[in-house]
Amino acid sequence: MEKKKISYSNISEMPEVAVAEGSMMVNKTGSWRYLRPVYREKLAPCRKGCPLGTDIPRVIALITQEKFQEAWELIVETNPIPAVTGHACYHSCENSCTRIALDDRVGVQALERFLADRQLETPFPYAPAPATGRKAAVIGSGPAGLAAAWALVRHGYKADVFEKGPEAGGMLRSTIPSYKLSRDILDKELERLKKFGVDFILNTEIGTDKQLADLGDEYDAVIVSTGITSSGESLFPDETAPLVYKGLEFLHLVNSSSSPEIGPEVIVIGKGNTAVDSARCARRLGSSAKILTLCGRPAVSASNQEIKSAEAEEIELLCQAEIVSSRIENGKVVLELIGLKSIEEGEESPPDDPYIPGSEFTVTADTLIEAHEESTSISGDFESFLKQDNVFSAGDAATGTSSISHAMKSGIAAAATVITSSLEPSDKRDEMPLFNLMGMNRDCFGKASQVELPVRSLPDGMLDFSELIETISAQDAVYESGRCISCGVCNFCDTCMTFCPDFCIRRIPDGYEVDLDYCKGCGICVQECPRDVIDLIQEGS
Amino acid sequence: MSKNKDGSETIVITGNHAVSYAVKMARTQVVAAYPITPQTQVVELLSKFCEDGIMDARFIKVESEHTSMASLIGASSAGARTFTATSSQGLALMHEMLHWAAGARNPIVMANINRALGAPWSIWTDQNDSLSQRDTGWIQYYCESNQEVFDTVLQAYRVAEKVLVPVMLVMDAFVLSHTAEPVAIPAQEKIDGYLPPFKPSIKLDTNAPAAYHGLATPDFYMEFRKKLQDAQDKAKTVITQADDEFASVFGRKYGQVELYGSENPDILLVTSGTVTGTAREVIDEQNAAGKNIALLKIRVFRPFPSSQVREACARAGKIAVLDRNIGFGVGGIFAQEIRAALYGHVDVQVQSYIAGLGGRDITPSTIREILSQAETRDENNGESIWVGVKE
Repeated sequence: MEKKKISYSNISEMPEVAVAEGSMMVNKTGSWRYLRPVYREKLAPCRKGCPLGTDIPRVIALITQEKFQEAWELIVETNPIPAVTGHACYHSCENSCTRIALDDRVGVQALERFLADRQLETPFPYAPAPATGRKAAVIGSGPAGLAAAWALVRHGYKADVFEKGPEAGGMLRSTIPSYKLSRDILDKELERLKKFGVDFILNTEIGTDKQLADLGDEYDAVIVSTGITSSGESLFPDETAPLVYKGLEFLHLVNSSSSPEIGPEVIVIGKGNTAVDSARCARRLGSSAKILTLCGRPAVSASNQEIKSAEAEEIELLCQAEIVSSRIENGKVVLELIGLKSIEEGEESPPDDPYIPGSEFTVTADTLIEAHEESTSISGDFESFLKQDNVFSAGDAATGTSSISHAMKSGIAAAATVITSSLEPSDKRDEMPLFNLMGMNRDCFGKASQVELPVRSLPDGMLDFSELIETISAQDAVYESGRCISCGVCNFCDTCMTFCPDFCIRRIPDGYEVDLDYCKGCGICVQECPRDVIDLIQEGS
Repeated sequence: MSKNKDGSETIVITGNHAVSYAVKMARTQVVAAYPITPQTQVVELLSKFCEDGIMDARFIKVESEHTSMASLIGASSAGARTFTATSSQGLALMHEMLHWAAGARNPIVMANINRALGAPWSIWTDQNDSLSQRDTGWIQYYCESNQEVFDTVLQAYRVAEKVLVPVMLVMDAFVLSHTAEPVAIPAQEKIDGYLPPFKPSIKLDTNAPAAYHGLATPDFYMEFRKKLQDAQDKAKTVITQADDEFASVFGRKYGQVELYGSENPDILLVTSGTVTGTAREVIDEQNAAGKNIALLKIRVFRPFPSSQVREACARAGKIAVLDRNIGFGVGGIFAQEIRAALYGHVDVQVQSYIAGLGGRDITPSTIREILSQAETRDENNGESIWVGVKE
């Protein structure tokens, strides 16, 4: 390169303005710095809210890049049945979505379902670890059992899953209505697990077809994940179907080949998802349905989404009332009720007289479904069996009624205890600092409404047992994922690099590097980062 | 709208909109501005032109005048033809960047609508805002009519891009900015002929990267200052050339100064801005009544047209300078400049009259009062006389 003249003896030789044609790199401005930017990812609220700890922001970032298979592969790192969860999980992750403060949550469920439905035939992207020679029995093939067996096989165990019925799936098959989770989807996910090495031993009820003691002898470890059963005292202990059903029994019948007989008017007692599922199924069997929650509206534990769907299906939710008396009259259930005063916010206990005078009313029904109480199925021999060192409980059997993903988490945790080492990928969430809303650059995010879920069209007022919600298109998935703020997780947007006034931030394969020879520590990158990925720390700290 | 023989169209527009039209027709490429009364309409219309797609420019919305000038320094350094407009406090906020634009030799054109500075708040006209910037290195034009405003924008780009010095076009708040007058808008082809695209000799170029305006040691700084002064000197010739060529294309000519009336008057009244129009009427009326009074309008304030001023003052009996400004601790600013120009060349009494601050009207009777005082007063102590102060 031609050496430019940099010293002048005469004004006429000089350029009109001061221009440095040589390099300025000699001036290492990094020596001025007392604060230093460091890239430090934060725990996104959605990932914190997911029982399985799925790295949701990264999954979504891959969708924006249309890397659908890679996105799915990241999900199955933590979740062995993503189509099941994509269809039927309540997605507690969405409840803490930062985007709610801007407009509306990101539709994580719709995105997960989109990915999972595309990859139904795809095997897991990893192979089981070399066989350890150890084997475990898993009792029950619901979400907890499936997740436990998957984790065990992945770590070199042989896992045998015992199922008393003719098909695997546990409550996914027997309880969840098919309008939420199509059985084809469930079968595909079970098929993948089988191919992965999970063995299902069907039509084998432990305690009847096979003895507990034998299991303890044959296997190195046993995980009991037998789920829950309806419990609680019935209003009419002597009555039977078609007049009175227990919630779970009713759902099991609906999901079996023989649909239960019910009258034209159905009352469901209960405040949880079993109650709502029962009512929605009753509507599909051609009856009208009311739900008696026997509690105030805030205490209803069914998911909001379910309640909305139920109301759209003309199911009445009766809250804030108590049963005074009940009887059978002319083959009908008659319940006398009275309205309860609501407990105002801040009040600790209900008023001395909790009833609203004159609020008595009567409801009658041809069929009563009691879905108000559920408890673990573990009893008798199982209880003493669980005291053994190599026997563990998991899922609803261990924790009581929860959700699919909580049950899976419990199954994976039980498997981890069996393996007695932490599972890979281990849950690193505890080590991560939390995403801080103050670190977000709101200027980078405009409003964008949530993608509308496609709903299968049915003739007016008609309801059936096929899935109501359909899978979103690839185009909508990319749009929806574009709404994600990617809280605390770098998605290589280059904003830091663009705004660095010293041009000292550079892209490297896994992120960015700061050239500390020239970074003055101005902190502009930290301010501009849309998603709280960069921290400013004091030099020497 | 009426079509004229020369292909121009006459429309009735305010001074502010005359600026907007001229900036559009000058094919300005980057506008960055922050709104302030009474300037807002200028950029409001420009933003609409940009929005409507009839002006091919990037309109940068900024959070302050300091940033609007900083943005234009960047855009101009990259070779774009640039424009901004401001007023009063906004211009004051821009002050640091005004020095930079001149030192960086960015041929930016700006319209400043003269508005009095606070405190106390005022939105009305006087010249202290622009005159406070007299040492920033910018060329300054003071305009009398909306036609002159339109024409001066075009001349300003010609001059700025030739000598690489930024130009500030100045006009009175409301009296001109918000007053509608007929303005002949020339055909675009004629303007394109007069004002070819900006082809800068100094330009940021990614193919030949270089750092500009870095630290100049005492060894070199003074030379760059001298070059800016040389450019201002050169501008004196270039301004006249641009005006002459303008006259040959469009048939209108303004000069750096304009002498109205006799070359050897008893009193020579000096004005700038819209007051000039009022003064023309009063002088016609007084001369018809047998007086011998002339008017000197100062249009270009920087570079100061010393030789033209000397020539006009050479045969005058007395000079009365009407200053719509005040240099605190001294007096009227135009008066000082004129005294300095005349010193050692023309020995004549220069009286300084301060009037019309903060938008107080300067009516024909204000001017009559000044002329009457000038006729009888016979002193040259340099002190300014305040006209119309409540006593």
